[in-house]
Amino acid sequence: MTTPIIELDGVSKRFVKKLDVAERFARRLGAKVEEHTVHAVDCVDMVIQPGEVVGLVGESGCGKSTLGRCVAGVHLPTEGTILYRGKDVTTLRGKESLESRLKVQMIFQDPMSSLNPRLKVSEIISEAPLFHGLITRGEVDDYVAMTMQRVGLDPSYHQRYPHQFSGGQRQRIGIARALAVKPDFIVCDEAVAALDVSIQAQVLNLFMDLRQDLGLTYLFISHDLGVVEHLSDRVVIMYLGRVVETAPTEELFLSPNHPYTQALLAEAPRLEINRRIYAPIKGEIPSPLDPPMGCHFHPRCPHAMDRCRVEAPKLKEIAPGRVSACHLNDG
Amino acid sequence: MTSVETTPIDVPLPDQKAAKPVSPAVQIAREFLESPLAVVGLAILLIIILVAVFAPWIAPQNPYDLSEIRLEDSRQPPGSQRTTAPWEIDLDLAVDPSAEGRSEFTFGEEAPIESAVLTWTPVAGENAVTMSLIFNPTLEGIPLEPLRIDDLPRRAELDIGEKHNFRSFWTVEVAELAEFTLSSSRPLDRPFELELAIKATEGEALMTYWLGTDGQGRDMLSAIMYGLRTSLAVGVVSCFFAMVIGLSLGMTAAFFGGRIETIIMRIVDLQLSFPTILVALMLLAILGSGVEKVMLALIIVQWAYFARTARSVALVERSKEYVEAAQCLALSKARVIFRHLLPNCLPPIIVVATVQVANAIALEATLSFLGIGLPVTEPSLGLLISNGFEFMLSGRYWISMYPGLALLLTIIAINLVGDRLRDTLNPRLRR
Repeated sequence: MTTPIIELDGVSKRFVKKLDVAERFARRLGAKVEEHTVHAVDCVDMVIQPGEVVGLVGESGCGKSTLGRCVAGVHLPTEGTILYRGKDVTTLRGKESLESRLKVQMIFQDPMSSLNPRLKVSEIISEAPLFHGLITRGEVDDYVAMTMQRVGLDPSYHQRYPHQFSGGQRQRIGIARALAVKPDFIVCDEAVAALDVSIQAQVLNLFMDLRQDLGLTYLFISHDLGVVEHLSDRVVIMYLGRVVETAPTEELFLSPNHPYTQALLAEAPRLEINRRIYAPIKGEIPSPLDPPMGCHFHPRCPHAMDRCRVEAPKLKEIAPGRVSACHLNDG
Repeated sequence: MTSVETTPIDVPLPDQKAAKPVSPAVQIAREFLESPLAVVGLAILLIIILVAVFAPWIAPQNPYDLSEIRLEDSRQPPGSQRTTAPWEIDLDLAVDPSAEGRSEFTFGEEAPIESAVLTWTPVAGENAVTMSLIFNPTLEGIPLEPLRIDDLPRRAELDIGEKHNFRSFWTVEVAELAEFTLSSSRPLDRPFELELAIKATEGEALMTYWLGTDGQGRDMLSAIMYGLRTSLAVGVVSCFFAMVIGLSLGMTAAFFGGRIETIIMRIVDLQLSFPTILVALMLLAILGSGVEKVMLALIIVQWAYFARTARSVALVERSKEYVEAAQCLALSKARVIFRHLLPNCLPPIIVVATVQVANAIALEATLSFLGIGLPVTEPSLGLLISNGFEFMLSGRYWISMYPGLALLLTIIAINLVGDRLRDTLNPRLRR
């Protein structure tokens, strides 16, 4: 087996709001003041092989974007390690560290705010490669033209500003910016969610073209099951900071194991002639400030048992290449 | 995997006409110019700035050069003129009445005429001489006091003009001098000299005091131009430094957060809870007066506004995805701050800066008016208003009113520009 390109080992990310002076004083006097901690990502393990497209699915607020940002190096995980090609990225120093950071790039959801409005397209694309010495000043024009062509943009627009482009074109600029540092792993954080459906298809196809041409690996974060089904080799389902199920795409869509996955798939909008009544998953997603004990999903799960309320289910292999975290699997 | 189709490449741009890259700055400028009121404000502001910058070259007078100021011109109403001293010449014309004769007098440089020629003919059988005085060129058109002829021989009389009631001279008109007769009850047998005094009624106009003069005889227009210079310089310089300090502290607070942020922002809150004029008054009471001290006081009372705005803007911009993208691209912290964060934080800061310049000018005028601002040697508009205040009730409104109008116009112009800038730079108000 080859070395995984990205390996997450017990990665957690917690955001803590520290107590201010008054609150600390109140606590010393005996008041019940707690620090607010958001468990955005809770002990996630994940292995991504080179060339794979992994879809990461979950409700909004379940921590999938935070996980993506941890992988891309925007956030540092609170706990756990992230290995790039078998090496812990936090222990790398100097050139290796820089290289591992550049090799993992990210594409953002909002094509407007992810581009600096004061820079021209050519500056946006060429800034990082110039800064890191990947290209020289003389090569900028050619390099920008090549990168723009690669993402399907007319190179003659290189002197324009982001606001002069449409949403789909801006997203292409964002892709070009990421590609400019020659990454081999790309985290797409809801990369097509803000686009029109017709443009979505173009951008998704662009992703697949790039995957073939450049041998890229993707972590594709989305709440859109259709997109994930179309794109991914493997799907990871997250709920409230934890991975609940991982399976190859086709198997997952054929026979979802975890009750949450089943509920998600049941409610995915499909093109059907007959009318359907959507039955939303009961209840709200619990606050990550105060996640429920045991299995996070138990307050909304139709199959919840007493055991679910006290004991968090572990991820267990239920079939080759499939893991799921549900007590029901224990039979 | 589903099949991969070829990606259609060129989706037409929404605006094909905009073939040239339009930078955000150009776009903002265009939008700014859409409001006629703001354009008027901008034009007035530009004129004021030009006047202030070039005051030493375009002001009719240097109002603080004591050699140019004449005390006798003090408190002149608007439109009055400054003139040279009227020229005055005495001619001595020798006459020998025994025979026909001619006498010529050549004038010096200062007079508007070159020479005067006196011809005379004795009248046969009478004690009289007919005379004719011709000026070359004529004195016509030059406003003159009545001419005086003096030193007539005893008992002699002229047939023109009038003798002074009790003094010896005669006053005559220039036109009458073309032909006149001097007669006497006694024989005119000895030569005599006629003394002729010519005096212009007024001197040459040197300049017009379009806005009148103040108590020391300064031209108000020049004083206002120089005052604008001082006021604008104090306002702009103090605002610039307040901006630099406020921007760095505000961005530091936003970027590092935690205790640093708390300390900086609590100082800002403390500062903003005092009325600015009170703080400035206290500072100047401690520091004493002087241009640099006024600037220091203005910087101290203004930086907090910039710091607060800078912090809030930086907080918003820092959470945008392009900053994360820059981090993801492993750009250095300095580069992220200065190339990505700072340029995007500037627009609201510029708006605050324009409004604060107007505030600084008004505040400085207030301090000067109260007499603790700038020294008399570097008068600002506030000091001019204060100087003229004592003359207001005696009807000499111009000494105070025109600097006041200049101050008002400046502040309105800056505020118009600032308002429009806020409208164009505020994304929430964008159409």
